[in-house]
Amino acid sequence: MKIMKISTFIVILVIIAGLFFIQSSRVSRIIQNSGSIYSAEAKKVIDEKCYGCHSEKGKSKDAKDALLWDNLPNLQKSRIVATLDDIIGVLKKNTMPPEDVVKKYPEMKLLPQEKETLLSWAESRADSLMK
Amino acid sequence: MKAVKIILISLAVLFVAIQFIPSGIPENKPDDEKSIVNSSLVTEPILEQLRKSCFDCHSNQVRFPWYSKLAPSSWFLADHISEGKSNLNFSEWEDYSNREKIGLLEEIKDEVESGNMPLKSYLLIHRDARLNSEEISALLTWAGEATAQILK
Repeated sequence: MKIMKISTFIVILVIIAGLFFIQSSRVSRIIQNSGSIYSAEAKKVIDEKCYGCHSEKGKSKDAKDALLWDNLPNLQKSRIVATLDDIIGVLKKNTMPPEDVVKKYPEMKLLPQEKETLLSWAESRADSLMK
Repeated sequence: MKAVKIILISLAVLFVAIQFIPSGIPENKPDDEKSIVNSSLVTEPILEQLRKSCFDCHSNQVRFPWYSKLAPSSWFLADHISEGKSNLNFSEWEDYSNREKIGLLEEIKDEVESGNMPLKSYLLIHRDARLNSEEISALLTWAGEATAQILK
């Protein structure tokens, strides 16, 4: 009788642990998916050079109207592609960060390597969305 | 009185003189297979609308008005057309990548829906280019469908 009780207890424990495992792996997959729009390298550059103006905390309304990095993953697929296309255009024309910002904060200037990182991230993301 | 005469004559001379400065208006070119005219993305009614409301600044098929031959209005026109075509040229549609096409279609939606396009200054003279609410909604639907077709 005692053995049966113990084995039932173990079975219940195993089931509960299994449920926890399934749940947690689902959650981590969701986090991974929602965060997967940015590569680690691109995110680093965005955080350092772009996020200040293009986030809810930014002071410029124009900058926020043009792009909010936090909202990008939640947009429709076509909107994401269009925004990535805009980002690529801006990077190629070297118009971001704006001249006046760079004048005031020279450390904000995008280094060639950082520009390349963002360009290749944006191009590959757009391509993968269009597949 | 003499001063007025001098001013008027000087203005007339200046007006004649500036006619010799090239305006820089881009010339029309015949549409080829690159044009959106030959794309499966557009239907004839949409094409008609684009011709009427957009092509004058966004294609190589511009209907030049009489004042396009006269400076200084020709200079402004040249600027408008060059800038318009650098942003979007329907005559060179197939030169754009799919990503760029989607970007342009989304922009068309934004500009038309917000009433920014066609430009107010253009509509002052080209009343036939105005878009009524049905035409706006037809263009929005078309842009959405064209985007979906590209994303397929």
